[in-house]
Amino acid sequence: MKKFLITAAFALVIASAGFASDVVKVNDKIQSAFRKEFVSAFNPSWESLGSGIFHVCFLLSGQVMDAYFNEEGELVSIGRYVSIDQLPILVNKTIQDRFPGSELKQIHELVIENETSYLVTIEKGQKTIIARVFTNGESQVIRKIKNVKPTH
Amino acid sequence: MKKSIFILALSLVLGTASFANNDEIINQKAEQSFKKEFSQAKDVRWQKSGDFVKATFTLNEKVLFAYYNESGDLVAITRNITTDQLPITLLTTFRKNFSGYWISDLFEMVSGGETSYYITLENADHKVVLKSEDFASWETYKKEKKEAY
Repeated sequence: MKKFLITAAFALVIASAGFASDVVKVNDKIQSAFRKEFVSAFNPSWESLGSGIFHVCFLLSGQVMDAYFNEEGELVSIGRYVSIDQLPILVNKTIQDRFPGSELKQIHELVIENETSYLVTIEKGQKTIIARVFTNGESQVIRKIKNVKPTH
Repeated sequence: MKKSIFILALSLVLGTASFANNDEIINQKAEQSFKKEFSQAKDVRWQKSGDFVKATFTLNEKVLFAYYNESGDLVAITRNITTDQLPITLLTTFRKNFSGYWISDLFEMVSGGETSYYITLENADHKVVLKSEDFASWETYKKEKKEAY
């Protein structure tokens, strides 16, 4: 349960992050871990998210990827935005079954502690829903936001 | 059921499953089960091979394959994918460890509520099939040396 709360909280931070921090130079431990983990990474751009967490955005095999390291150079999380085509069959089915008639606005694939999940932003009626869908088909609504109609 | 999944996976990986076209109703139980499971499916085509019947269909503009046993039970759903459709950890692990190979087959399989991925890699000397059941790591499913000509 504790692990779930930590990963859910981290997922929410990533989903909500604006990433407006300054570009930073990271220590050698992190640089070395990054190069080892993502051998063919291209064009990395680093920033600090605070609390000792560093975010790097880079290209790998033509895809934009995000990785998160702590100060010790440990990989905390990997993520990327994906299209509906990149969703596993079960995850896609869960979204269709659990949120029928909704519009899928954004999907962020996220790996935390070797566990893959998908943060999906869905618009349904007057609400925007952020849900986390796991690879076994389970899902958890993280946040519901009532959409504000624009005033003229 | 586990035996059926194993036999099906092996025949798909080895490419030994030969599904013959058949326009007639092949297995009524399978068809009923299919309609219930995939009510939005389009362009459905049925084929038979040995103990399995295969439905090829389109769902949300994706081509999928559903395999049923003779009792009409859904054994597995598969789809052919490209590397960018692999889960992120499998993609990065593959890029890190198998750069000297080319890919000759890659598919996703869902059976018994669990997802697995099979990738067939080749170089000049070997053909290797890797399997992943945990979205995180690859294990060698089959490896063979190519015959010299």
